[in-house]
Amino acid sequence: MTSLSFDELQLIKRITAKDQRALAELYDLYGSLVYSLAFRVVRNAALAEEVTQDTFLKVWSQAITWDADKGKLSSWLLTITRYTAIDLLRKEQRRPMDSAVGLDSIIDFMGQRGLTDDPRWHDSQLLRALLRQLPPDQVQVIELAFFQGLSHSEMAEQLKLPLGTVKTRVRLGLQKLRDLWLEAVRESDS
Amino acid sequence: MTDQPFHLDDPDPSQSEPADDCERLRGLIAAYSVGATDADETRLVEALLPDCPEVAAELKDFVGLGEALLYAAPQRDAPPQLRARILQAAAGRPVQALAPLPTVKTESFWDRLRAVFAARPLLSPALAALAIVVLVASNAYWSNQVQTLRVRERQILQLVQQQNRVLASLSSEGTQRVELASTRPDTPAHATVVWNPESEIALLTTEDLPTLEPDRVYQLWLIRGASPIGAGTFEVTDEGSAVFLFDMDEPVTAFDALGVSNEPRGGSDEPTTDPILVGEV
Repeated sequence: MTSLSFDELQLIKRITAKDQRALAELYDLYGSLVYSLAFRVVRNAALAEEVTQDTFLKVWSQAITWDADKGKLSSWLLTITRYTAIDLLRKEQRRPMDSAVGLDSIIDFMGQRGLTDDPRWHDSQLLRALLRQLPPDQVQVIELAFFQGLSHSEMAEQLKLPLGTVKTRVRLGLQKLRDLWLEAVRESDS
Repeated sequence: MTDQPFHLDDPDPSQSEPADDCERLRGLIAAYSVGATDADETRLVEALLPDCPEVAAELKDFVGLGEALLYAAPQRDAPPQLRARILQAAAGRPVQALAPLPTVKTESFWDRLRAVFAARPLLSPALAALAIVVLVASNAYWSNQVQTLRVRERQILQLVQQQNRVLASLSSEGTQRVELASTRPDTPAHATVVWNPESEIALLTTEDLPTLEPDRVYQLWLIRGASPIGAGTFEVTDEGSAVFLFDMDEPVTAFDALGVSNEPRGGSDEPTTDPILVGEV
């Protein structure tokens, strides 16, 4: 266990003991990361705030469910964020693509920055670069599946494509992305 | 790896050979890792997984990829008030949607003068006169500052009202959109133009456009027949993103197509390079 995960373990223990300062520390560490993913899914500043709040409140009430052996705290937080955001989209019965691009996004665009102090930043940059190497139709279904939570049949309906075509695009796209990613990770390790 | 579409045409794994089952599982495992399988496919994956250790090992790679994808969203700063709202909610206190702006208690010159004398009852006449001069000067300075802030507040309010009008316009039911795709199949650049037929403004958003030399900009064109009309220039972030709001004298539907080209800074009267993005209206 690394010292970082040890710190995270202490943080979660304090949150489990309802130490509000620990929740504040967790937010200071990962608030922007959570908000960024929430915004990526819901594409709306107000909804992204709602998702971020729900995510941290879930952690506040269920921190004990985090298992340090199963993954990093930030990954656990982001997984909660992703599902919370997708659930919200489903509750609202809307998809980001159905709504116009809000002008609030202009301000957010201005506020964009690289989270260079996060060790995962280079991985995220890498993955975005790798995504650009895929054919656009494969990127499209990966985006719909991962960031909007659509299943094969939902994507086929939305894209008005045969189900088999969608399945092929998802499979080939993810396989190619995995291969590129593993190769890049191996190269950076060697 | 096959290019043939995978079909879930044999939902009963007990009726097929284990090798076939594992091959069928292999076709679904990527989608399963990101939650894209339909309910029947998910059940099939979970039924077959224990009997196909090689595919199960492959699943671990896909799960790792999924974890990395969680971090791939462009980074944004969370709104400053959000932290306090979350902590308030965690404490079980009522959550305010927006923190009220701090109010400034305004005191008149005479109020402050009285306060000075009340606090300094033993001031000599000379010091009192000096205090008055300082207060008058300070009062003039702060009056000027307040005036400047009021002007700025009015400007911000106007901006917010303008943005709200645009937002309401682009969020209404009649909103239409055109997708602009890259003219080169090897680049993922794309853009979207969104507009409301009842308003005279539209919004262009782009992704993955290459950054240009400092003396070059992108220019948006509204194209009717063979006549392109410039709709403005814009620049992109390092990530190729841009958000560009533009006015239209005519609705977008009055044009045949939209295009984006690389032009000298300041824009051109007509495109001087081949279009990078095009979209048919």
